Amino acid sequence: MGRYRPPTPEASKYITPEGKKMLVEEHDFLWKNKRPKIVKKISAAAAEGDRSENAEYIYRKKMLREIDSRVRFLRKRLEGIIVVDAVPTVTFRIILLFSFFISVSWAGETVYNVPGEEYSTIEEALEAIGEKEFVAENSYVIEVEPGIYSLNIAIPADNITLRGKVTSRTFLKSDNDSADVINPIIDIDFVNNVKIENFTFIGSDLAIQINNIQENLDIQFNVFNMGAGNTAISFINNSPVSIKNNTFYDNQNAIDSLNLMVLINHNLLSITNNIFAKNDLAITTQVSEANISYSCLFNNTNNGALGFSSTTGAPLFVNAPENSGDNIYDFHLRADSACIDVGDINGSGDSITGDDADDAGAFGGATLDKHPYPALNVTAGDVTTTNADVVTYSITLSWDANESYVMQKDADTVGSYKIYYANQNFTREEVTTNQVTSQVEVTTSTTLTDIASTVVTPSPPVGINTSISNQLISVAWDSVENAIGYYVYYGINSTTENKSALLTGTSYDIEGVLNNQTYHIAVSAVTQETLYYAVSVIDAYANESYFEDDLIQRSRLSGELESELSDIVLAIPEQLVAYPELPNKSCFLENLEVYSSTELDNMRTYRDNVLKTNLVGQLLVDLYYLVSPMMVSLVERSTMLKEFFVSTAIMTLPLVIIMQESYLVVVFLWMIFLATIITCVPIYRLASR
Amino acid sequence: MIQCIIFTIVAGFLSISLVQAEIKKPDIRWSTETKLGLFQPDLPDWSEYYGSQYSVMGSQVIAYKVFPFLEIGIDGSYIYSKGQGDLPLNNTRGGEVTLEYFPLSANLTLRGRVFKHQWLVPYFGMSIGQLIYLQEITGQASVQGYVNQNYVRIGLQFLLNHFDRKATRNLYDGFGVQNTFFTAEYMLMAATEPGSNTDLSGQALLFGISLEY
Repeated sequence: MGRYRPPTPEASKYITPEGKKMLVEEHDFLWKNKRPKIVKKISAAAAEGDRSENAEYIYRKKMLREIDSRVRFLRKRLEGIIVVDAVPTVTFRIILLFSFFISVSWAGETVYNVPGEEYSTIEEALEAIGEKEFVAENSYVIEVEPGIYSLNIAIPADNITLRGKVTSRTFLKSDNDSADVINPIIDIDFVNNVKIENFTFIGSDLAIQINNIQENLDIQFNVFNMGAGNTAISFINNSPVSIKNNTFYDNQNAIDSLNLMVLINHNLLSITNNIFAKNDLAITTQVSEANISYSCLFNNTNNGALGFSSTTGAPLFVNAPENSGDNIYDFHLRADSACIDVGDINGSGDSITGDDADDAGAFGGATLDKHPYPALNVTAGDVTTTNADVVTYSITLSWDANESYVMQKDADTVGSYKIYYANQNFTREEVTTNQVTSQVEVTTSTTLTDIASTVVTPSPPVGINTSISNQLISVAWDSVENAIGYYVYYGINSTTENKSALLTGTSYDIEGVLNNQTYHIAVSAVTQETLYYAVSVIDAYANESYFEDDLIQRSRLSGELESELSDIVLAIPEQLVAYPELPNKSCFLENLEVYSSTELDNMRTYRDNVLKTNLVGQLLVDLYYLVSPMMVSLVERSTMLKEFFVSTAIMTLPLVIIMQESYLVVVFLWMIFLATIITCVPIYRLASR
Repeated sequence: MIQCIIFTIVAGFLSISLVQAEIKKPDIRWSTETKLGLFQPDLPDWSEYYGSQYSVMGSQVIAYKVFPFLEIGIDGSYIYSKGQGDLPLNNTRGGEVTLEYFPLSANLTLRGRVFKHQWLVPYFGMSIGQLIYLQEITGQASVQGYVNQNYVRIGLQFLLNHFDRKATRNLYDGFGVQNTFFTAEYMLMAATEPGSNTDLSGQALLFGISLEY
């Protein structure tokens, strides 16, 4: 259920004669002129057959829905509308003026963080925006935290910006890649003034599908790494789109069209400052060369349409995925990259370096994401302990150098690394309250010294209580301050006989204990000096990397400090006696007394390990246990029936013994048999009365 | 005098029929009852093991009207209890025991029905059938069985048609429902195994909705 929103206040019903005339004309045009034409085209498209892959049919249908929606809107608006053809009174003018100022102050940009307090997913945020009443002055920005998001979305309304917070760490991929239908990650269809920026699109059929844009679609500062056989951006028709400063790496087709007949040459189409590397096709030749400029091309099988002022040469990415492993997509450029300063000479200039010439790619030009990539492979070395009055520790941290070219501005100005650390876990939001070392320039390691010990040997846990059942003792205790874990000691003669692994919770189940034996149980608490740390990167232009909480690491500084044992408690596991005590007739096969206990155990193992792991098997098991009591009841009442079942069971005995690994045949045999019996039960019961 | 007033009111309820011009509807042949309520087992220590003397019970009846006052049908119920078991050595209770009953019956019901749209309809019913039980105990094999079961029940149905004529008409148009009743019922159930100590008998108070088609 969505969040409650108060109903939207009713809009004004007053209109000028000219305004009403406009609405009526629009309604008549749509209803009497445009709609019939579309209907005819749909009929023609439908006649071609196979509607599922008929683009003309699909999009005409969509257009028809749009027209119907608009017509409904217009009719509702025109209902009870009041035409104002006289000049309003002074009082009314003042009210109008006041209303105008209120509406102006309410209009503007609304920013939603995802996941955030209001919306936990991108889909939720878009749905909420789609439900809002359209106001031309209002725009919405959805800022997405770093993470991997699986989704297939359609932009539902005009004036929406979808923005990742960190390009190289905010991944979008398809939630529903199908062999039959291409599902784009983002479908931009019949909407205007939309921006998609600062994302890394990965491993899906299609990243963005563009259709029927009237004005302003910006796709910028994104990385597209869709993989073999997949497409980054696909045009359905000729649309005014700005595809600027993106990196297209390892795609089947970087920019393509699903509609082979369309010529993409809109006067407001601009494909500029992009890097195309290792794609099968960079830009389809359906795109007019006049719309393409300042591309940086490298190692594409087919560059396609080149446009003007393109550059060829290795972009030298810091970390392309195949060189660095999963989820490390650092498409910042190294120092000798051929894509530096090759962008639009009339562009806005690089927002990171501040020079006039734009870089090509996702981190060039007026990029919004100035965060360097976080430090990689942060490792901790050996710990040195100083036993003075106060115990202190030293530890050396090291990490890989960030090789982006913005780490060096000139001979004197270089990038640095900042280390955040504390004795207790912290989050990115809390980072300012934690200890911070001075920045470390250039070098990729530092030694943290004089880390004061903050832990002491903990007190033994109290509040030990046990609950017992069949071959099981459940132990629980109160938590101990600063404990990182607990050990449970137990045994029949003393607590030292058995020791659990280090437990992080405050309860433990001792399984497999012997029934009717008295067990001695005690618990100890453990503390350990732990250092939590994160390393951020600061480039030569003072931009710091954005490290998420999962990049905060920890190292143990001291050995385990274990408390004394708690008071010993005694527990006797035993079989539970249920109330009321009922006779068990659940297993018909067992009641026949034909199979040995080993054979029955083998069949039960087969039931649990094979049958119950799939739906059909589970249904067979459920059915068996449903009819089994009735079968037991029947054979108890009729010697003849019991003999009949026993002889049947004896016949299956060789199968049970020989086919120890496949009892399915036996199960099926019995199921057929039982089904026959179920149909005979009513007859039997009537006859026996 | 008071007896006189009560008699008048009851007689009035029983005799009031819906006086309205309506389309001739076919005779009512089928009825269903959906009820929820509480089951109180006869076992003396029930509440010590299951926390309450009552268990949740749901019931569904489908019946065919041989005459307007006589129905034959089948019904299935579900009774659920969750509690603890005995730990004799420790002289305490513990673990988790789930006990479920599935009574299945064929039933005969007599309804005090004089008019087609009578406001209050008292009824009496009885059944024969079986009760499947399933007892699940943590960490141990479950116990399952089957005992004879029969019940007698008395109840009162209150016709709801008059409260919302539009809904009544829609129910008839959409689903063929002619009458909708609120039902209150008391049931006495015997569930025993001949020759054994197993006795799962009890009594239940159920409330629900009955529909006649």
